[in-house]
Amino acid sequence: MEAVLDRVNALVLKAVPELEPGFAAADSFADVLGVDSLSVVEIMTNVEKEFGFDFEDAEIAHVQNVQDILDAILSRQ
Amino acid sequence: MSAGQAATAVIAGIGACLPERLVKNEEVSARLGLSDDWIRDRTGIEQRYVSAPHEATSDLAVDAGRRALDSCGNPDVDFVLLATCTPDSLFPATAPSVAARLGLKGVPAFDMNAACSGFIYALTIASSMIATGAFRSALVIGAEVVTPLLDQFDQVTSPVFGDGAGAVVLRRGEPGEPGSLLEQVMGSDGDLLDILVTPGGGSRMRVAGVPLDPDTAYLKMQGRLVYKYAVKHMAAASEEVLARTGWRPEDVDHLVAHQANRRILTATASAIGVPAERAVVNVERVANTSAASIPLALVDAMGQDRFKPGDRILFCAFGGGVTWAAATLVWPGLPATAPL
Repeated sequence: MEAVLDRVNALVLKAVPELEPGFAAADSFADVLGVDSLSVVEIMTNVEKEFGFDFEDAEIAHVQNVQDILDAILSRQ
Repeated sequence: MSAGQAATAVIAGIGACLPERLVKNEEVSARLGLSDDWIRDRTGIEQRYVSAPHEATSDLAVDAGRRALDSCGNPDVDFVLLATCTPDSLFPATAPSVAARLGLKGVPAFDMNAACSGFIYALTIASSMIATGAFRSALVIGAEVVTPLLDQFDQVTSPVFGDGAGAVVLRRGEPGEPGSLLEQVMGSDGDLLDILVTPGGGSRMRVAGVPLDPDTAYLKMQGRLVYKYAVKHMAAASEEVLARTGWRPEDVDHLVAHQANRRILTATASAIGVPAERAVVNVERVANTSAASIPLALVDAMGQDRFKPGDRILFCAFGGGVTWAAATLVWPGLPATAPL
């Protein structure tokens, strides 16, 4: 799981390079990290390409943090 | 025209107009309680034009149509096609009024709603009608007054949209003549209708007895899903139309995409493989004007002398429905039109 988390964190930083590394998986993209809505979609698009699956629309609409993305990946493995 | 070759429809003139009232981001962000750079960072938009009470969709359509006709010597027009999702009235169509006010009473005139994809849809339909040989010319207009549909306190929609209109005159041309659509792709996915919708006033809610109240009458947008599907479908439609045309992404001189949002434009250009500097962008000054956005972008680019005859142009758009479209065209070199 930690390897997956590291890969997701790297994809977050790829989409939002100005973000300080070291954020927690539970940190809210919007409220804590200041990551805007379209950047969340860019992160999720990166994850889709890296992990080879498509998120459901409901997941795209409701993802709040890295933990939600991690859960979505792990539920498919 | 040679025997056996289909007629084509060639763009002969163009015009566009904006409402008088300019609204800068500061006004919108103050209303929404946001910082000054919030809107610009998320959308690339810095200002928009907002209609006054005397500037309904037909008023802007007439102005843009007049400018397009004036630019090419006021030729005869065989029909008027108005792309809009914000008609003056739910019924009847707005195009007959526009035609009459342009002195074109008597010609076929009808509306077409493919939302933000409307202008490419309308160009394709009008070109096809001319290609049948039944019509020799057309006035194709994209006109929208979207801002009254917006909840002024909705962060998702309120900063994004503006009003405006653009029009082109089409005439019958020779096969292969610059200015005709070379290839076009259109598509839709009605399973996604809820990601961009104004439910109030339509038969679905009326037949169910739901009263028209401000909440149902506002445009609703699920921003994340619009972003995802806009990039996905504009890129796929563009790749398909490029393949049909026989162009590679690097052959495209100008990408003229629906001006939804600068980040959607950048992501779409990247997905197609067209260098970002070849994307025509004017969303920062007019915002998202739905079906009017492509002709507004063309007129802005012409004002900057950005196009030269022979340039290869790729159009693409995505809108409510959802709908998408793409088309290719070799720039014909058009007579100057009134600047915006």
